[in-house]
Amino acid sequence: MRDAATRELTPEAAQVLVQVHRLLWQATNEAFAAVVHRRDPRAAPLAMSCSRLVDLVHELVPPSHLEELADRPEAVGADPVELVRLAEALTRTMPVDRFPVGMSEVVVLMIDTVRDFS
Amino acid sequence: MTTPDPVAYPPSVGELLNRADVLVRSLSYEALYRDGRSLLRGWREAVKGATELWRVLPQRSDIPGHGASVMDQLYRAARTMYRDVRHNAVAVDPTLEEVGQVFARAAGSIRRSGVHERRDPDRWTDAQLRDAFAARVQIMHILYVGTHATAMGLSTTAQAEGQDERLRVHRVPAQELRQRMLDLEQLAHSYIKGNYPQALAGEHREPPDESRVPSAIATWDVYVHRALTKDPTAAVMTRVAGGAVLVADQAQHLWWDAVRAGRLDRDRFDQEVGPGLEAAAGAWQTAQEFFDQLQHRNDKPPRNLTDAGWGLVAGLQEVAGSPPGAAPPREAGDQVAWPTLARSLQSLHATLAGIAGAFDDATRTAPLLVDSRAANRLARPGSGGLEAVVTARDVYYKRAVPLPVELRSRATEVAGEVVRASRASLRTVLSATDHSPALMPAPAVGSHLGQVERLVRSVQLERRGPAAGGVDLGVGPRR
Repeated sequence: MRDAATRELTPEAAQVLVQVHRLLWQATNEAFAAVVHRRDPRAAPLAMSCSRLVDLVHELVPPSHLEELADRPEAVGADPVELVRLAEALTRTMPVDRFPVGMSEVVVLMIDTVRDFS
Repeated sequence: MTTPDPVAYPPSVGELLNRADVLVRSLSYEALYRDGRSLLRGWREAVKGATELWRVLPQRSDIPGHGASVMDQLYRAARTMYRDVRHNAVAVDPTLEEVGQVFARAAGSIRRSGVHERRDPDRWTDAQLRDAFAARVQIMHILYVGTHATAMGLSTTAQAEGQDERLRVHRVPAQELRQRMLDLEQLAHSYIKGNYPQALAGEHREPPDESRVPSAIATWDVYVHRALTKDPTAAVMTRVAGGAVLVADQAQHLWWDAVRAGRLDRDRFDQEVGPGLEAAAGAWQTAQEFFDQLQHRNDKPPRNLTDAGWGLVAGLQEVAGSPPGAAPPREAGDQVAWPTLARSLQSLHATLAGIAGAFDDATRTAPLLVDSRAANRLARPGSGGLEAVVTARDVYYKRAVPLPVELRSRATEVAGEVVRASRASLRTVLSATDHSPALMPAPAVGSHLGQVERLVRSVQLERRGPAAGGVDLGVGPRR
C-alpha cells in the first residue's frame, strides 16, 4: 500500500514550494527592515515567525530544486503580512496531499501569522 | 472557572479541541488508505461527542436560527447512517473514535464546572460568548474535516466494490454512503463559511505564565550554544545574529514599557539603557548581514534553533501583555509583574553577552562553511587583486567551503564589536536596575512570594513530585 510519508513530489508541487519560499524570504526581509527602521514592537515577532516559516519550507523543498532557492529577494517596502497571505494563497492551488508531510503545519502557521499580525 | 477534577492540570476545553483538530488533520492524510465503513462508524462517534459538547456551550453564543439545526441534522444523519452500517463486521475507526471521546471529555469538563446551569440573565460576558462561538466554529471545522476524510475513505471502498463483485455484500453500497457524506460535508461547511478562521480570534487566552520567559531564555541559550559549538555554518551564524537582533529589539520595547509604567527613570533610559541596547542591536545586525550574504543554498540551520528563537520572542511578546492577536492595545504596566520581568530581562542580557562570546569564538576557530561564490565575490575587493580566494572547482560546483582567510579577519572584527556592544548593554541594564528600586528583584530566595502564592507553589511542587528533579523554588532561570 502506498504510504502518505513516501509519496513522490510532483514538479508542480516542488515549484509551488520554491515560490512560497521566495515570498516568505522576502516577508522575513521586510519584517527585519521594519524592526531596524520603524521600531514597531510587533515587527520582531513577525520577523521571527516569517523566519521560522522559511526554515520549515526549506526542509520540504526536494534536493533537485534547491538550486532555485538561490533567488532571494531583498526588502523593497512591501507589507510582510500581505506576502505571507500570498504565500498561503499559493498553497491553495493544489490539494495538501500533493505536498510532502509537514506542509499542513506550514499552512497552519501561515494562517496563524496572517491572523495574528493583520 | 473551578473544577473538582482530581487530576493535576486537567486539559482545558481549548486544549482538547486542539487535540481533536490535530487528530482529524492527520486523518485526512491517511483516510484514502482506511476502510470507509470503519470511518463511518467512527464518524458517528465524533458527531455524538460533538453534539454533547455543543449542547453545554452557552446558547447565546450560537448563530441565531442556524447552528442548532446544523448540529441536529448532522446528529440525525449520523444515527440513520449508523443503522446502515452497524451490522457490518468492521471495527470503529480509532482516530474518529478518539475525536468523539475528546469531545465528550470536553463536555464533561464543562458540565462538572456547573457553568451551563447558571440562569441569571447577565451570566455571560461578551468575551465569554466570543470564546464559546470560537469553540463552536472549531468543533464544526473538525467535523467538516472529519466528514471529508470519511468521504475519502468511502470513495476508495466504493472503487473496490465497483471492481470486485464479491465485495458487494452490503445493503447500502459505499458509493451511496459517500454521496450522503459529501452532502453532510457541505452542511458543515455552511456553518463555518465566513466564520473560519476569523471567529478563532475571539478565543480566550490564558494570562501569561511567569515561568515562560526564563524557561524560553534558557532553552534558546542551550540551542544557540549547541549550534555555535557543533560545526557552525554561515546559516547558523545568520540565524543566531538575527535572533539576537529581534530579542534585543523586544527587550528595548519592554524597557520602554517600564519607563511608561514609572518603574524606570526616563533619563536613565534615554542616556544609558536605550543607546546601549541600540548599539548592541546594531552590532548584531551588522553580523547578521555579513553572514547572510555568505549562506550556502543547501545550508539550513537546525530546526530546534529556529523554534527556540521563536519561542523566546513569542514569550517576551506575551509576557508584555500583548500576545499576537490580542485585540486591545496594552496599557503599560497594568498587568506586568515588573520585578519578575526585570529579572528575566537581566538574565536575557546576560545570555546575550554569553552568546556574543561563543559567537566570537566560532568566528575565530570554527571552519564556518560558506558559499564559495559569495566568499569569492566578497573577498576580492578587499584583497585588491583579481585572483580567486577559493578554487575554481569549488566555485564551478557551487560548493560550501570553509571561511577563507581573507574574510576571517573581517568576521572577527564584526564579532568583536558584537561582544563589546553586548557587554556594554549588559552593564547599562544592570546599572539602571540597581538604581531603580521598583524594578529590583527580591533579595532572598522565595521571600518575595506572599502566603497564598507560597501555598500554591508548594501544592504544585508536591504534585510534580521528586521525579521532576529536586526542588524548584520558582525563581530565576532553570539551567
